[in-house]
Amino acid sequence: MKLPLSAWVSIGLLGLFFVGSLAIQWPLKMDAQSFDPNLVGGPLSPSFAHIFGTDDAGRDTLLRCLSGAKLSLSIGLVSVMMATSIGLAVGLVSGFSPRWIDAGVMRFVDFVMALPTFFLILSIQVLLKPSIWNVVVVIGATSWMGTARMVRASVLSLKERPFILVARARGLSSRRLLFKHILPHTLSPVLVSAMLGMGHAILTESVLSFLGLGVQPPCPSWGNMLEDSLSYMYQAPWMAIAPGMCIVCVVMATAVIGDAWQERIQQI
Amino acid sequence: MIAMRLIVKRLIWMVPLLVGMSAVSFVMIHVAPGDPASVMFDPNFSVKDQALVRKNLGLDQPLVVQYGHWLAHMVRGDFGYSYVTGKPVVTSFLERLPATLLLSVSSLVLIVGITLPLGMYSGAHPGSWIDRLIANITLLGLSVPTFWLGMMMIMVFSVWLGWFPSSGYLNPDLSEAGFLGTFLDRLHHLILPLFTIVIASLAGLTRYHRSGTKQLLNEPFVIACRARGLSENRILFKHILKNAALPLITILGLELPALMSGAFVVEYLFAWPGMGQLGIASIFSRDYPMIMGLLWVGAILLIFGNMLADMAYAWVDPRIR
Repeated sequence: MKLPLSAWVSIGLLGLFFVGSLAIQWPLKMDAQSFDPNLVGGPLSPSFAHIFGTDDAGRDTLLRCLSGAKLSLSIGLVSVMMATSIGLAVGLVSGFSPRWIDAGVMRFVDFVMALPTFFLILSIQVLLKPSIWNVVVVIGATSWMGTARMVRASVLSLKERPFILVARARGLSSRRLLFKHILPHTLSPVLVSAMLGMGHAILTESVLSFLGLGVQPPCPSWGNMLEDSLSYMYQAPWMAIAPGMCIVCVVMATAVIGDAWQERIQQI
Repeated sequence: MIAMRLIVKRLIWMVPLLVGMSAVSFVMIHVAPGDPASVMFDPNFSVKDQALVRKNLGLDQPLVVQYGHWLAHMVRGDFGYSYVTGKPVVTSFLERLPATLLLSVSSLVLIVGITLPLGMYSGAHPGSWIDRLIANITLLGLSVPTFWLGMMMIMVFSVWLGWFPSSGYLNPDLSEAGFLGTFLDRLHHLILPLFTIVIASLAGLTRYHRSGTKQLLNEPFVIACRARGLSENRILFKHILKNAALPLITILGLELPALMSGAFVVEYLFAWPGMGQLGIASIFSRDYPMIMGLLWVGAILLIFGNMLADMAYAWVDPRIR
């Protein structure tokens, strides 16, 4: 596949995070939550033993970052999968149904889009007791509208294309028409927006955890590591820099891959 | 005339939207575990006292009655009283409004002011090194979590360099400093949160403006301008700028939620006494009347923002009127 160098670098970077997060689980047998009691008493600055330093409880920042990668990547992936499936389903139904159903569904999409999403997410998190699954569901349930609109628009335009008219004339069932002939053509832009959506989901998760409303300590996530670092900004800047750089790298990688993909689609 | 119809249609559409949203959030709040009244309980309260508090707040009545009661007061502009401070919710909003307006309006102005030249230059010189630099910077801005950018700003400019204060709205010692002194001090406090929001939200608009400009440069009317011997700069500023800026209005309307959520966290981080900080504080203290009020105000702001964007679009572009 022909992609620009930056896209390959980004894919490699995401792979590195993935492998790293698995590595601390399995071959290295290092638990990011366990810590050396001798170190308790203050954050240690970066050294050969701890490349990114340690946090206030003497836990290695690099290991915790990798452990957080597992959470952030999986939260991003699962919530985007959820958002994309909802968006696809709503878009397909809306675009393929008679006009009155279409109008009703689109009004509902407008309704969800007019909600102050972020504040709503915060309120829901407080009400439901923050947990990882709540984060996933809440992000997934509030970020499908763009995909739905996009899919609907492309279904509407595909319906009038000659090959669909031919397929219809040959008497194919609606289900076959929808899944075999229309769905595949809508997929590539959906995958691009899913890629960008994943970056967005990771950002949202980090904000939630930063506010203490997402992943709960001692389970490390980039957001709650940053929350911890707030009180040590002066003594231990590495505690704030390392997890933040992880977020930036991963989100940037998804954006670069999404952009490269988008360009490829447009070339074809 | 058609614009009027558009406005009326939007306003009518707002009613079911607001009622639906408030009903959903109302039910959610009251079905969720934990009694809204429990935040007000003193550990020494007897069961009888607790029941009394519930009765005073109207929490012993059926949910539908409570909601109807809330809605009836709501329509008259009465959001109820904060469970935490006891002050009317509207009063708290009005107290917080100036700070939020200052931050959001100035960031909006700055975002548009920076986006237009950046996007125009990039679009007019695609592939040049400045274009690639701008693309990379906007990509970075897109990927940075707003709150982390704010933390880094605090770390560099207020902890290490000591140039700007890390939090607050106004220095309390300066309350007697006169107009100019107050103004400068406020500006001093404003700069870090302002630039945090601006840098984090530049990317989207700049990208749109770049691709708009680039596309327009291939249009027949531009070739006609060139054939008439107009200079590139004249074409850019007189003919392209207006056309390319059109979609930005809509994009700005669509970006409002992102701007709002960014402002939320930034206000929290910099202890900026605005609506966002109030929102986070009231979420943490489960101040339900406040949360309901803020959801309501947020939805109204969003709808009005998009409506204004549509109207501005119709006003600037006679084709869609």
